[in-house]
Amino acid sequence: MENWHQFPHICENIEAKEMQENTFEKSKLDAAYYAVQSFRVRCLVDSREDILKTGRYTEENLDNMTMDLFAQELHKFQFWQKIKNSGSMKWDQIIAYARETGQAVFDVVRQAYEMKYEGLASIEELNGQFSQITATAADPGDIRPIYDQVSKISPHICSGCGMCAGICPLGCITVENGKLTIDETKCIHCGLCFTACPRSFLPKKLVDWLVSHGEAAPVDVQIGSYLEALSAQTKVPDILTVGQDGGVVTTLLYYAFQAGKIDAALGAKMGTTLWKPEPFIMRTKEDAILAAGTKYANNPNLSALPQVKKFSKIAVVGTPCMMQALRKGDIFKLDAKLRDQIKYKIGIFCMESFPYEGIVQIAKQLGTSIENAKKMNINQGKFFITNKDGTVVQAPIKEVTQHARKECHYCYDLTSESADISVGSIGSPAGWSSVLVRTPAGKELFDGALAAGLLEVKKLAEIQPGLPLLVKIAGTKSNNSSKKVLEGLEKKHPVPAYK
Amino acid sequence: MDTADILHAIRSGADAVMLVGCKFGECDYETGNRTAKRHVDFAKRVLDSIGVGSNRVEMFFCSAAESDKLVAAITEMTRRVEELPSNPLK
Ligand SMILES: Cc1cc2nc3c(=O)[nH]c(=O)nc-3n(C[C@H](O)[C@H](O)[C@H](O)COP(=O)(O)OP(=O)(O)OC[C@H]3O[C@@H](n4cnc5c(N)ncnc54)[C@H](O)[C@@H]3O)c2cc1C
Ligand code: SF4
Ligand code: SF4
Ligand code: SF4
Repeated sequence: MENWHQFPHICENIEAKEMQENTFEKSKLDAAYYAVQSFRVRCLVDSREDILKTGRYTEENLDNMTMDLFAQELHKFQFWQKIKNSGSMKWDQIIAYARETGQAVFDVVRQAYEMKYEGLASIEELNGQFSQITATAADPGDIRPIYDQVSKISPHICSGCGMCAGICPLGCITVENGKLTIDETKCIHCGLCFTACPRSFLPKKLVDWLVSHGEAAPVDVQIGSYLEALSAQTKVPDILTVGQDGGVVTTLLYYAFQAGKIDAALGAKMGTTLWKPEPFIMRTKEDAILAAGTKYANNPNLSALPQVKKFSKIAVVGTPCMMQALRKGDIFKLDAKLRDQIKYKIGIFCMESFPYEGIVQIAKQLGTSIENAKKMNINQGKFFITNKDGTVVQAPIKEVTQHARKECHYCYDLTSESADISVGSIGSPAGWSSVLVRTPAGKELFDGALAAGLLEVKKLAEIQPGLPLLVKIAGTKSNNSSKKVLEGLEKKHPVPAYK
Repeated sequence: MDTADILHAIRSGADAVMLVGCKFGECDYETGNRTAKRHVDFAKRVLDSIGVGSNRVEMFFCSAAESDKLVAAITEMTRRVEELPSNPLK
C-alpha cells in the first residue's frame, strides 16, 4: 500500500472540467438533492438578505461561499453513495475514485473526514495510515448534524481565537477576554462558527498534509512539519528594543510592508486597558513596531477578520489556535476569497494564555502591578516582569500557572504547527527567537527579510539548548492535552476532535 | 417551496420547473414570493454547476389580473421544453 502522505498532487487544484449542459446523471442529481438540504447550505440561502444587510459579506462573497459549501456537500454525498454501493473502499480505490472524478486526493480525504464526523462513514487506519472507509449510515437522514452553534462546546474548550466571531455571517458573536457570547435573537443556526472553530473538530493529519505539501517536507510528531529550524535576531535597531525575543515577527512584518508583499497585517497591540490586548490592523511597517511585544492575556485576533478583508494582501500573526483556525478554513474551504487574500500565517509559540484578571493577579503576586510593568516574559520555567524602573521580578511558572486559562489545557500545539512560519523563544538564547520555516510561503518571507539584511540567523541545530528542548516541551504540551481530552471524554464533556 | 423541491422534480424526471408567484409586495404570504425567488436563484446556480443547465427552472411574477402574462410565461416554458433535450430520468 502506498503511504497516504505521498501524493504530491494532493495540493494541486484540479480545474473543474467544462460542464456539458443537459447532462442528467441520477446519482449526481440525488447527491445535489441531499446537498441543498444540508442545513448549512440552506441557512445561507434562507438568510441571504439578513446576511447582506450586515455588510460582513459582499453579494459575490456570500454567493461564492454558498456555492463552495454546496459543492463540498455535493461531492461528499457522491462519494458516500459510491462507498455505500460497495460497502467500503480501500485506499487505492479512493485514489482511483479521485482520479476518475477529477478531484484532488486531498479533497476526497477531506470528504471522508466530514462523513466520519457526521456519522455517515467510519475511517479505519493501519499503522497510522488511512486504510479504508466504510459507510455506516444507510440514509442521509441519519446524519449526525455537526454544524451546530459553537456555544455548544465553547464554554469548556474555547481557545479564544475569535474565528467564530470573525466568520459569523450575522456578526452575532463577541469574543472578549477568552469568553464568547452569542446574540440569540440574530443567530440563524447556520453552524458556520462550529465548522470554522479549531476546537470543534480539527483533523490533525490533514493539517500536516497541507502544511507539508503532501509530505514534500517531513512531519515531526511533536512540532509538526518544517523545512528549516533556525534561530534569528532582528538587525533593525528600533525593533531590537521593543521585540519580545529576537523581534523576528515584527521584522517579518516590517519587511513584508517595505517590500510591498502585504498591505495589511492582523496582530495584537496593547489595548486601552493596560495589558489587555486588542486585535490590531497594521497598515505600515511603523504599525508593525507598535504591535511588538507579547501580551499574555488572551486576545481574539481573528474576530477582526471582517475588518481586514478589504485589503488584498494580508499577513496574520497569532497563537497556535489562531493558526489552526486559519488552516482549518483552508481544509474545509471556508470563505475562499479571504483564504486567497491571506498571504502569510505567522504563528507564535504558546504554552498557555491567561485571562486579563490572571495577568493582574500575577503582577500582584510578583509584588508589582500592571501599571508598573514594562515587559512580561516567560522563559526557562519562570515568569518575569520587567518594571518601568528597570527592576525585574520573577516567579517559577508553577506558582502562577493556576491563573492560566483552563480551556488552554485542551491545546496540543506549542509551535503553531498550522502556520507558514512559527516564531518563539524556547530553544534560543535570550534576545533571539527560534524560527520554524514551514511552507514555501513562509520560506519566501523569511528569505526575503534575510536578503534585505534585516535579520541575523543561525541554525537551531548549532545552538544550545536548541531543538531538543523545543521538541521535549512540545511533547509535554501535547501529552497533557491528550490526557485532558481523555479525561473530558470520561466525564462526557465536549472535547475537541483532533482525529 | 425550496431548492430541494425543484431538484426533486428534476431527479424524478421533470424536463423543467416553472414557478409562478405574485409580484413583490402583493403576496398574501408576505414574503413567500421572495423566499421562492431566492431558492430559484440558488437552484439555477446549482443546476448550472451540475451540468443540467439553469434554463430548466424559471420563476415568473404576475398578479391575478394579468392572465396575459401567465399565458406568455407558459408559452415561454413550453418553448424551452420543446427545444431542450428531454430528461432521460422519466
Ligand atoms: C499568550 C502567549 C503565550 C506565549 N507562550 C510562549 C511560550 O510558552 N514559549 C515560547 O517560546 N513562546 C511563547 N510565546 C511567544 C513569544 O512570547 C513571542 O511572541 C515570540 O517568541 C516572538 O517573539 P518576537 O520577538 O519575534 O516577537 P515580536 O517581534 O515582539 O512580535 C510579537 C507579535 O505577537 C503578536 N502578539 C502579541 N501578543 C499577542 C496575543 N496575546 N495574541 C496574539 N498575538 C499577539 C503581536 O501582534 C506581534 O506582532 C507566547 C506568546 C503569547 C502571545
Ligand atoms: S452564531 Fe454561529 S450558528 Fe449562529 S449565525 Fe453565527 S455562525 Fe451561524
Ligand atoms: S475556539 Fe475560537 S472559534 Fe472556537 S469557540 Fe472559541 S473563539 Fe470561537
Ligand atoms: S494554549 Fe493553545 S488555545 Fe491557549 S492561547 Fe495558546 S494556542 Fe490558544
